[in-house]
Amino acid sequence: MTDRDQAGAHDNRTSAAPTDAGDGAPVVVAMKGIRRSFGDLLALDGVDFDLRRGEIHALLGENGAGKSTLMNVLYGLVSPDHGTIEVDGTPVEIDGPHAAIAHGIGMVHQHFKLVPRLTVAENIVLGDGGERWTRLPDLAEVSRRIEELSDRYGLEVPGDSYVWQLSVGQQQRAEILRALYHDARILILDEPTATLTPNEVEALLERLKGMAAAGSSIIIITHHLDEVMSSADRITVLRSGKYIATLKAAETSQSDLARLMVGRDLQEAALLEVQSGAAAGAGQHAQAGPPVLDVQNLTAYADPVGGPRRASSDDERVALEDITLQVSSGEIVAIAGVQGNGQAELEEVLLGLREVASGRIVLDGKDLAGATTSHVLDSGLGYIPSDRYRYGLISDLAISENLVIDRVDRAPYGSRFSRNFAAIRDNAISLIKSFSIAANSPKTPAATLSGGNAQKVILARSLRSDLSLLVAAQPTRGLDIGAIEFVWERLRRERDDGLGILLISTDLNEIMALAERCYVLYRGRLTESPMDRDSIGLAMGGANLTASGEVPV
Amino acid sequence: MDWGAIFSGAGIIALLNAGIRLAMPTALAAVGETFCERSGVLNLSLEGMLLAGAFTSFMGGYYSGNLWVGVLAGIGGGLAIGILMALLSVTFKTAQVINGIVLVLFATGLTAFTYNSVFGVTTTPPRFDSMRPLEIPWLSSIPGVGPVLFEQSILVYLSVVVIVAVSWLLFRTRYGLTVRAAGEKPTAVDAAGVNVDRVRWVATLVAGAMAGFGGAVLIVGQLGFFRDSITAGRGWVAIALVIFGRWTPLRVFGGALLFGMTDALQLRIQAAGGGIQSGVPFEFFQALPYLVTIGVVIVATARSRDDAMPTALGETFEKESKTKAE
Repeated sequence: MTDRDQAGAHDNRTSAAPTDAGDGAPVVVAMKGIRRSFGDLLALDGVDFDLRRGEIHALLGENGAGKSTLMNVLYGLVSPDHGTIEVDGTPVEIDGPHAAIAHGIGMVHQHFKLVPRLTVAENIVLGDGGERWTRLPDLAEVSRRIEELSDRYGLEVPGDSYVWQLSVGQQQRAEILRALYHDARILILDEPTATLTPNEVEALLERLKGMAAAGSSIIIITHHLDEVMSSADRITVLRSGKYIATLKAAETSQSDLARLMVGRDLQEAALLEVQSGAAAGAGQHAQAGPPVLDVQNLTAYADPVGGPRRASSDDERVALEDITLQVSSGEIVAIAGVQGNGQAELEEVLLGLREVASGRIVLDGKDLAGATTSHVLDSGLGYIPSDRYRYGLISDLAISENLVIDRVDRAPYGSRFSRNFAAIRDNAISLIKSFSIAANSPKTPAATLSGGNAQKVILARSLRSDLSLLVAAQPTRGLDIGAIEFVWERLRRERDDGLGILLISTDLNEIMALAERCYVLYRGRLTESPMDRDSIGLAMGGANLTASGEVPV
Repeated sequence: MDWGAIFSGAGIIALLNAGIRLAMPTALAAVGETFCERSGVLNLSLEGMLLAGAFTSFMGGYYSGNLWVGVLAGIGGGLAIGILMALLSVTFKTAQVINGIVLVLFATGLTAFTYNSVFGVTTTPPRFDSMRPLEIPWLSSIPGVGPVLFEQSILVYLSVVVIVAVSWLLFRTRYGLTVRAAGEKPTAVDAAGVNVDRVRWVATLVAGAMAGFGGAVLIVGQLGFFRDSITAGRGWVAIALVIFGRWTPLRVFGGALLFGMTDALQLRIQAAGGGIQSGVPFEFFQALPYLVTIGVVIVATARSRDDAMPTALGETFEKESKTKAE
């Protein structure tokens, strides 16, 4: 395994087969050689994982590393193509959640699996003989048992409340209680802290430690390094579906883990050609000009959890908290961070798609907070959306139509009541040529384009001549190397021509290749970070940077 | 016209008695639909289920000479459409609304075609004697209440038992809880280890069987003959009643009784000569129950503050983790 060799200095701490390198508590779960692919994507490539009784074991990795898939295999939601699972030393077949529950495995999902319009007690009963035509148990009795468990583990949840009335933290505790109610000895928590406030996170980790001390075995899926270090006994790192290492928390550090998680050596080798282009581009570019975007103390709320039937607004979560950032013309400024820390909300709030709770967004001297999207676009902001098929293209429409979709009601492409088809076609022919979009004709539907060519269409549309700022969100996600190189090269050229670019990306390589400055978004807060991998990687995991920007050891 | 004959003491008793009887086919279909929609399947094929049940119960009763064979055949006819509906909507996960409408058209065409092929186009349709009312000893002699409630055909009593049983199942059993959850948040049901598609299959079959039984009640319990589209839109009314009853079986049943009463009333007004003497076209009276239903649904929906509709109604369920990596 070349990846494990990449771990280099850590080899002395990792064992090839993670079985008996520790304190000798019995192994309750052993997963061996788990392999699973989704279409062309190999999500898990022969992953080994073991869990001991009474430990908190963190499963660490970037988005798409395969953490959730591995745990979905253990919980029976995903069937493995290859590999074996042992529970208490006995090989078992887990062909569905019911089998996992029967083996004492409980899972708390990232997106809660609670029915908002049922009570906590009803939700808990749901997982227990749900296909039997027998009488419901006495729900008051169920509530009493829930309260007993609540008291024992310090997980306060009112059993007879409807789930939609509960806060996010209470819903999560209800999920944990459900697992305990069904006698789970092995508890899987998928990104349990993603939707919690810092205080709730602290409280949760305390409760989990208490449960582990009482004999439960707990797996936490996460990418937050600080939580891992403060709560886990052991840590298994996955990267791109591969097993990388299993470490004891006491014997490792946040920067070691960040390095294992990101695996820079491997990815740099794969992108060597693109990387060298990066160096050349970075050297040439002109100095940054006057500021074009000035965001001051911007705050925005996240979508309510549990849908529209909330009891009150007191569970409103802040998605972006007091954000301040500047972009000048002729520079690329990156927003780094693990997905789900506010990137989508930042994208939306800048575009006028999400309400501004407070703060200012000034573009070229005009305050755009609260402006409509069309006004924002008219003010000189170009946009490459992170979800290119949902927000970037209309799949059934032709390339030529997609290329003018934001300007189809104005000259030269038409007016409110008419279209100038010749102008639309000529525009498409010239852009297809200049952006070398591989398409048979301007009439080809956007749906038939490959990812790279679809992105070129969006790029061609976004880069209008009157632009002063480009918001590029995940501009190369899922593209092949050739297309990545094209997009990067194009962004650099625009930068050199004086465009200000805000690059929102979860890809550290991309940020290193393109950006001059970098901010890191972590749980809705933005901090500026020095342009080096270790600092950015640590800040992405929520580690505190010292005032000088040095990494604390 | 003689309003006195309709609203005399005996007249009102007869009116209420008939209202209950006429309400039953719609009530059965509507309560079955409630169960089905609670699981998340918007079953618009209800009119087709009702019609198929009516047709097969007529054929069964006519050829066997046994009314109970007719009842069983009716349930089978409704189930057949239910199987098609579940196959298309749950197994193949195609658009539920379209499946429902297609199956109504299918049932309408197939029953008319088969009936006309077998019996030819005739002005004297073949018929059999429908089921006689069963006077329950003692109870039927209670003044007022007795003749209204306890001089009904046994099918009416059975219908009430079935409706109450389905309501009990939905709210008092584990399976009922699972059905309700499947219509609210199927991913939660899936994560609880229950097969969502199987639950929805069962719920759709419940709707089919109940609507088929409703068709049998119409033919075997009331009419004794069949003709094209004899259910006359009762299935559509039933779907509206589910909304009126806010997806609660007993409230839906109440709405169906209202529909039945209006139907009984308009029949009596016509019989009393209201149609001819007043110069009002008889179609107006026939339309009356439907107009009342529409009015009541509009008022009830506009007045209710919260939305009782199952959250996942009409949405097909795909196991999320099977299709994507993370």
